[in-house]
Amino acid sequence: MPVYDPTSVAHSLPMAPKTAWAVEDVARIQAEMVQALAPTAPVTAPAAVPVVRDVAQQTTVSGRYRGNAADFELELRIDVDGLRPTRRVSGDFFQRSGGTMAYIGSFIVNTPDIQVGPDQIVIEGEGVYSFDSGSPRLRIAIPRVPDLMPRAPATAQFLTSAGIPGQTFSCNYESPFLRAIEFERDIVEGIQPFEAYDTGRLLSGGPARVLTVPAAFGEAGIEMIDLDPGDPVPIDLAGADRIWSNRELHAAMERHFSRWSDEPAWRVWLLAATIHEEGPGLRGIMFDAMDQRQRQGCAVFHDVIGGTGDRVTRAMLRTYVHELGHCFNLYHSHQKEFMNPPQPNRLDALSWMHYPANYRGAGGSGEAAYWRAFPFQFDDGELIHLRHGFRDAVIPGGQPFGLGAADIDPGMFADQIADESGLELEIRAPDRFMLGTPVVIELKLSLLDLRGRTVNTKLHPNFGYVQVAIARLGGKPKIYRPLITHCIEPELVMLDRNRPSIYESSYIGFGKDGFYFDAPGQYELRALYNAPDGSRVISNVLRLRVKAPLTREEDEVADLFIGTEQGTLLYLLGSESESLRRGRDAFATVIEKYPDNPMASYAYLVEGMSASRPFKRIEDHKVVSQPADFGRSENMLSAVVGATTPSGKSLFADTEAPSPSKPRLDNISLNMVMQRLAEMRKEAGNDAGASTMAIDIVRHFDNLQVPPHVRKRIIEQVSKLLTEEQIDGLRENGAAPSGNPPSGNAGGGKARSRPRRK
Amino acid sequence: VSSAVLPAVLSIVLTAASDRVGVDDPVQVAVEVRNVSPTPVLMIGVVDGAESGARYPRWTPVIEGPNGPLVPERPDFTSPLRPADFRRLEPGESFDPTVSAGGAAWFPLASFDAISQHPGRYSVAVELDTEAPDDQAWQGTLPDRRPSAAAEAAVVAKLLADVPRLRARSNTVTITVEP
Repeated sequence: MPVYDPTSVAHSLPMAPKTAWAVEDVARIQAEMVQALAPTAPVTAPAAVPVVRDVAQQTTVSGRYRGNAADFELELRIDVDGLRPTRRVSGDFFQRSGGTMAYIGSFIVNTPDIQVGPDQIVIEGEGVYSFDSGSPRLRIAIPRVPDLMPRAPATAQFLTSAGIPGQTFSCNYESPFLRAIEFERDIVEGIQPFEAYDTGRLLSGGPARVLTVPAAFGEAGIEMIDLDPGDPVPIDLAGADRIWSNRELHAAMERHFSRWSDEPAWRVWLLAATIHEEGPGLRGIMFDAMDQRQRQGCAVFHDVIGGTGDRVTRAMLRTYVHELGHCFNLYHSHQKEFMNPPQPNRLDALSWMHYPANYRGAGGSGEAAYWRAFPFQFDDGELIHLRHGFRDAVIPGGQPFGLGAADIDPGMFADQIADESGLELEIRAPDRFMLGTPVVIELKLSLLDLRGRTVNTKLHPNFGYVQVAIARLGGKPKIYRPLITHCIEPELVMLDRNRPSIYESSYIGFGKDGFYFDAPGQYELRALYNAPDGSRVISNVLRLRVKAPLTREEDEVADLFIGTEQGTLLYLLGSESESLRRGRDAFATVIEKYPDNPMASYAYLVEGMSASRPFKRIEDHKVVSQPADFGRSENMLSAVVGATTPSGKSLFADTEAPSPSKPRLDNISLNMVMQRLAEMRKEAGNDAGASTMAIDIVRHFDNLQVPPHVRKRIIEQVSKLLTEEQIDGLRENGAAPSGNPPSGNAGGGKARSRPRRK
Repeated sequence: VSSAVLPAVLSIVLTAASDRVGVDDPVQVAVEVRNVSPTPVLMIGVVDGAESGARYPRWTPVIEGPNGPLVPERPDFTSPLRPADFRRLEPGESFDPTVSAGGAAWFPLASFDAISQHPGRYSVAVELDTEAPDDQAWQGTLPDRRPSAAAEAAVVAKLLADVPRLRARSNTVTITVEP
């Protein structure tokens, strides 16, 4: 979940018998930890020892507050003292409109500074938001009041990073619990449900206390408001076999959950049932994991978990809390990696969400070791999620099971602690782009282990095997999401000495989230390759700058390139679709008005690639085919090649560095354009022109001194356009038997002047 | 074709660290799975749900003791298979499917450990079953939300095709739980 921030301290302070944390002690420990972890200070572990105080005499400030400003309402959760404080604050925003109120976003401050004065407590820090916040800093001031007096309101002041004040909310104290949920437990007729367990009855890792299900969640800061159970649920709902399926359980929920409605809501249902169709090993299930609104109900099976005795009652408590934990969007401790964003699996977790048999702790493994050490609680990461997770990631009926809020975990792209993949992934691109220039990256997957590795050649992010994270300096990282996800099987090849690397070129400027480089500034990119053996190969960090336009022409060209239709056309490499006409018109304007502007190359590219293929559209329920326009395509693509290789000289030569004012096609894209030109000539019956172009391609890359295996690959790609003699000639001496400097025009020689669009 | 008439592919050997344990003591039983065929074999260890029969491969403990058969806890959600959960065994090579290695998510057979809860004499064996009716029977039930989920699923599907379909049973070891 997004609140699980690997860059901040994720531990709550421990719970001790009859001891709650006072805010003074929490502030002291927080300060000591910050000091201990500061680079200039000697690194010593802070003394995280609770000071035993008489809690009844303390004024705790943690709890849930609520306030308004203009049309907005803020639910503020302060968690800096009391039971297992996580030293965080968080909140949800709502907007009132007439008689309605809508949820609009959440935030969390992970490691705030806590200052305790005689008159007030001030908590301050920068938050992580589910939306782009202009004022991400938060300063909360809470006046201290005498014991037994009503709590004072908290003033929440949002500020920009530079400290300029934003909105202020005055929030009244509402509850000691950070969240509240209605809980309805229904019972199948004849079932004797779980009521309570005294954790002191058997050896355990926590203080002895009597726990009910609401009490267990209460310790986590979640108030479970018991709803009256309705009439017993008739066993007939399980069908003639009297055995429950997930579908039957869902139907029972819809019928018997008195407050059920198919929407996100702070209410949850548990059915104490008989047995599930999965058999006598299944103790319980969160059955609501398939439809649109998930996690609203769960069931436990008393034919399996029922009975008497301390061990049975203890396990029954765990099953009840465990299944309800799924309703709050918690995965098992050993399955955290499957969430989005993923978290590390925690096999040593002493948590309600762990399977005792899967526990692997320092003091032993397996079921007996788990129960000996289990303190009857959620682990720290889960506690933070329950108390502070973004609302939709926690609320039943919110995000689907396992999905966090629309945020990503930058930790996914962290350096691997151990990397035995035998592979290296490199991401590269020019270091500067003019605003509006299509950002194309090159991915190179190389072999490090010369014994060889099987790899997937499908490196383009469109195929899903490679992800690219993009972060603007100071902004939230995003995963590039292709406009169209291509479901395609991996193409496995062996990388070895003869073929030590593979390459891919990818346009990542536009995708499902729109433009990813739509503002000037510094960006960081990192890619992740998911290898067939499960390895995750992380690339270098690529830093690039998007420069602001300096002239009126640059500004106008940038405007002509930034548009949804233009982004789609760049992504698709052109289309004649009527819905993209505005984009084509924008590119036509670039070609007409600024034919010599370096960015016009991309307009030519889109137009040329589009014209090179037929286009089908449906008119009056009939498929109408628009044939390819080879002449127009030749003109356009030749212009692209010509612009990239002025006077027959390659822009890729080391003698000419790329510049933001002179964008260039990357080698792979240029290869694609030249090959398309050659293929098109072949399709048009111009075999001689096709072979000339094919040889030009090889010669061009010879000039660049590409590695032998790349040269071999290029020859393979163009071989269908050449005679055996020509292929042999290229293979044998590395020199072309005929051909011309790369030019893009059929006859070779100088590049053509740029055509104007008719 | 019944697997019974096919040449043996795998041998499974259980070895108990001790044939006598005390009540609630850990029961240590090593599992050695060896490729006894002349060609490489792809196999999957004890992933979650494999012990309880919730998914394939099924690694089913066969335990006879004074209290009747033990029913392993069946997970409510089983993990998606990942490429790292597969183990390639060269001819003659062996592995312990209950000990994670190379990123695999394999688990000990909890039923073995559970026998020490009650005194008595137990006979212990394990059966391997890979004769799944379809690929779905191998897959976990937990929604896989990772960005790489689709990519990994495609790789897993290819790997699954190479897992031999067979049934095999280990030797039987006897363990006495002393009061």
